[in-house]
Amino acid sequence: MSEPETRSVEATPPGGSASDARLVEDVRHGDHEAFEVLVRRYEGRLMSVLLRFAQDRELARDLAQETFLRVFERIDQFDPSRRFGPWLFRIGVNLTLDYLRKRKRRIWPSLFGDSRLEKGPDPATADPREALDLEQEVRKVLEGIPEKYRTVLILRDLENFSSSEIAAILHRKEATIRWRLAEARMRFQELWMRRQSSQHVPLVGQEGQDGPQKHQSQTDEPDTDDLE
Amino acid sequence: MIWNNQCRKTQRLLALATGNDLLESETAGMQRHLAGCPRCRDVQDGLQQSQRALEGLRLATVAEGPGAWSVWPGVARQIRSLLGISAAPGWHQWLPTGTLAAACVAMIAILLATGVPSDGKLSAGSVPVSSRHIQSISRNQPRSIPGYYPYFVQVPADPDNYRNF
Repeated sequence: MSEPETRSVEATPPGGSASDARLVEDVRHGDHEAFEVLVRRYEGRLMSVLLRFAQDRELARDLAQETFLRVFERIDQFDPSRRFGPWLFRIGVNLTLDYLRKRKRRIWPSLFGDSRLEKGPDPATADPREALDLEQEVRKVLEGIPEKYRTVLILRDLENFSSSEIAAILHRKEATIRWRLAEARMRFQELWMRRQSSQHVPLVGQEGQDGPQKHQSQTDEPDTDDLE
Repeated sequence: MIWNNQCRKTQRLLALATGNDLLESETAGMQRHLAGCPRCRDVQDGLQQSQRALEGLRLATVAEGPGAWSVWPGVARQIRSLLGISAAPGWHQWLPTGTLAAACVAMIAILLATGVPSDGKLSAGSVPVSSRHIQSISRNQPRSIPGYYPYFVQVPADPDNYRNF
């Protein structure tokens, strides 16, 4: 098997060839221009990642701005023996996931008081009234995957981070990330195939619900993170 | 049961393999199982299809790009305001300190205006005393000095009463 294709978490440097560690050190000594270099170096990559989660350009931009502000405020807490990139992305991804969780909690109960509707539509069943293009279809299926798997899938398959980088970003063991990645792809595949077949089969939704449930019961993630 | 476990394990490896995440050491066992298991080959086809769909989404968004903008102006503004608060506080932040200072100045001014006798002798009136002393002086109908209560004693009208101290 060939080496996995990855985009590095370390961004290509605008603002000279100064290392991240050097720039962080300068920021700690009050050099704001060094922080500007760091921001310009990472903003494109960070924005791209946050946009995958937020799916709204303005929101992703606000979250990226907030991420950099937090990084500036906590720059003294950064461990210089580690890499700056994963630390930055960890703050950004956590901030975004927290925001989305809070928004979901706020919006769902108020819009859909009826408990039958709180689960939302079944992502495995295509709504024939919706004429979604391929991208929208994929996004919809992604939304049907639990957050901890979806996060790994987005970072690996959409943002091309390596599994060791994802481990550093999510602060998990690499074995856990690989486990979640396999699980995420299997879940995505199952939902995707069901959704695709439901679009071509006239009797939508009669295939039964046992697919993902059966799959879920077969695959319990080993609790490796508790060991950390 | 062994067949099921083997399939489950292989499908997990297949899921990793579709994104080139499989280790060299894991490949051989997977290939051996695939050769004899049509069900796992079907799963492999499905995984490859769904992986292509994900790849399509990735390429579509990469082509779109994050946009020609920078968050730096906004970040810089927030940092300036963050540091501005601690480096050069606005006038309203001096309000409590200013009020306290003004009150102190006013108090000193009052003391100077009313508490100092014209001959400048403050010795009797400026002696700090306990409440027992104040009571004993009160019984002797003291002459009060405005501005010194409760920190400074009221001076007895009769100089003989100093013996009570």
